[in-house]
This record gives sequence, structure tokens and C-alpha cells, in this order.
Amino acid sequence: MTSVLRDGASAVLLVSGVLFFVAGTVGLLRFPDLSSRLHAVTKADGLGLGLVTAGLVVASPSVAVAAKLLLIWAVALTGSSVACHLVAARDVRAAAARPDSERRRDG
Amino acid sequence: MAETALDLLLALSLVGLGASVVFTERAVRASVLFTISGLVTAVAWVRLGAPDIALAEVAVGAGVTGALLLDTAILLVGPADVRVGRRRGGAADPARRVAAFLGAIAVVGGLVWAMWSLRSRLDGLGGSVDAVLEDTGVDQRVTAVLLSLRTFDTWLEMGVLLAAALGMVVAAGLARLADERSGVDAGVVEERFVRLLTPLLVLVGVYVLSRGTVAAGGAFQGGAVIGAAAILLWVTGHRVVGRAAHLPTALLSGGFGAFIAVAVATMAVSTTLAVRGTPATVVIVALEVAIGFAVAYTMLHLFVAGRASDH
Repeated sequence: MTSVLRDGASAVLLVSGVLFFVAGTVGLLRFPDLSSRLHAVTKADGLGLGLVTAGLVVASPSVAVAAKLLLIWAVALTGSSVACHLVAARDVRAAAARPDSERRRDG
Repeated sequence: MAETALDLLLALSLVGLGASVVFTERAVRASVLFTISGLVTAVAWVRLGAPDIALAEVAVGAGVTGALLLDTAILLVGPADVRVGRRRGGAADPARRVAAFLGAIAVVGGLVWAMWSLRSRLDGLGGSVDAVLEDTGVDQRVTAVLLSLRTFDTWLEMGVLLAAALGMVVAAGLARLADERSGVDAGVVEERFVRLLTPLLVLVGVYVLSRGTVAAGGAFQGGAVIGAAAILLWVTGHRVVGRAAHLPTALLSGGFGAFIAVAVATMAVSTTLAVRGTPATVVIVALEVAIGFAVAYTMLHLFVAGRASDH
């Protein structure tokens, strides 16, 4: 009984995590601007990874495995946030350095 | 059923990523796609039951090589990632690229055909390795093959690494690693992040290295992770090798030399070059530490030498 509950909860969490990843990817492909694409990739993918990790933690065989999964999520979240900040900061600097006559849409 | 779908997805992604790396015209984009394809390849290795290779692929193929390629691409085309123009008869020529792609497909097809004709003998050599596993002094097949049964090949691999590193150092005119700084003024975010990540990376690297004798892991993977930590430190403007350390470039030969030292010591003690049982475990651990250090040091030198050639 509890096994069915566990598998069900795990499946729900995994599927919703994947849905967030799909949303993030769609945002990455369809948003017009670098900043909005960064939003989509970092926030949606971060939440998606958290849900996937939660689904795996629910289904994990031991506390050690669950702890490792949570650590992976923490490091991935921190890393993606730092990467997002670096990309955005570089873009801001590049945009500031560009003269106004050469304004173009972000590629 | 689900596993077949996963494998099919992985195979299709690999082909798609490979094609996109070849056919993109922007150097920075190509190196990022290369890194991603390295990650997908690592998952494919796991699916094939080869976690050691997966670890090596992620650490070396996707991680350090991806960073090196990205660095080189930005140095070549600048940060704006402009299109690499079509030079006449150059590699960017679409006809040549299609021909190269088809040639690669032909090679892969030949390999698949060879594997298919061998399908009755796909058991591999696992049984033969298991028969002598006790003598080798380690509990894991891959490490036993790499560092006991085929030590000669691993020694020559260290020779290849040494040749590559020395070539880069000479070509860049890199005088001493302790004097090289990346000159980058790291912001607060990346500074804090690197300070958080470096001890974690060192821990993971040493752990992966130490696990090589009993489970998936080993010196190359662990050394690459520590090398990645050193590269991260250097890229954010830290002095990686402190003035007090004064580690000379000659230490690059540490991995290659360790094998020679073991061989000489073995010859002094016995008439054959074979080491068995408990002494073998000690020797293998020592060799793994030497390889790990050499790999990490080489990665750092490759990265620093690439930038130092501006001087």
C-alpha cells in the first residue's frame, strides 16, 4: 500500500518536473530577449530539477542516496544561478559599451 | 520498454548534437554544443554499463575540454560570437562538411557492421579478468586492467599527456606557473561561488580517485575534477600555485616518471616486472595518486598556457 503511494507520489513529482523543463525549453526557444530567456532557463529549469529531485528522493532506497540527490540539486541550483548572473552581467556590459547607433536585437 | 525509449532518445540526441556541432557557423556556439554532447555521451556510457568511462567523459570530455574549447573560441572570434566566415575551400565549405559527415557515417556504419558480425562473442574479457583479479590487488575490473594488467598502456597515456602539456608550455613560452595570473577581476558572485565550490570539488576528486580500487572511479577522473577546480580558481583571478610552493613545470612529468620509478624499483627487488597481491595494492594506490596529480597539473597548464601566449 505504502509502496503504491510512494510510487504514485514519485511519478507525479517527476512528471511535473518534466513539465517545468518543457516550459523552460519552450521559453528558451521562443522568448525574444536574452534576459527573458535567462529567466525561463534558470527559474523554470531550477524548479523542474527540484521537482525531479523530490520525485527521486521519494523513491530512493536509502537516506544516503536521498542526501546525495539533495546535494546535487543544491549545487546545480547554485551553479545555474551563478551562470545566469554571469551571462546577464556580461550582456549588460556589452549593451552599455555598444554605441546607440548600433542598437540591435539580441541574437 | 521505457529503457528502449530512453536509449533511442539518447542515440537520436547524440546524432543531432553531433550534426549541430559540425554544421554551426559560430565557434562559441559549437564549443557549448560540444560540451552538451559530451554530457549526453556520458549518460549513454552509463546506459552501456561503463560508469568509469562516463565519469571520465564528464570530467575530461565535457568539462575540461569544453572549457578549453570555449576559451579558445572566444580568444579567436571575440566575445560577440560572430559567424566564422566561409573561406574558399576551407573547412566551412558546406560541400566539404557534408562529405565529412557522410564519411563519418560510413565509418560508424563499418563499426556497427563489425560489432554485428562479432555479436556471438560480446561477452568480453570480464571472465578472464575475474580469474586473476585477486593477484592484481584491487577489487575492480577496470582499475585492474588499467593499472595492473595493462600498466604499459597507462604509462604511455601519461606520456601522451606529458607531450601535450610540454608542447603547450613550450609553444606559449610559459615561464613559471606561479607567475601567471588571469588578470580577471572577479565579481562578488563568482568569487563566493568559487570559494564554495573549490573544497567540494577537491573532496569529490579525491573521493573519486580513492574509490578507483573498489568501484567506478580512478585517477583520471579524480585528477580531472581537481584540475577543473584549479582552472576555476585561475579563471577568477586567483594565484593557483602560491609563491611559497614554486611548483616547477618539471613536475608535469610526475605521472610518467612514477611508472618508471615503480618499474626500476621492481627490477631492483625481483627478476620480473610483475607485482602481485598486497604490494600491488600499495603500488597501484601510489600510481593513482601520481596520475591524479599529473592529470590535474596538466589540465591547469593547458589552460594557462593557452592564455599566456599573448605575452
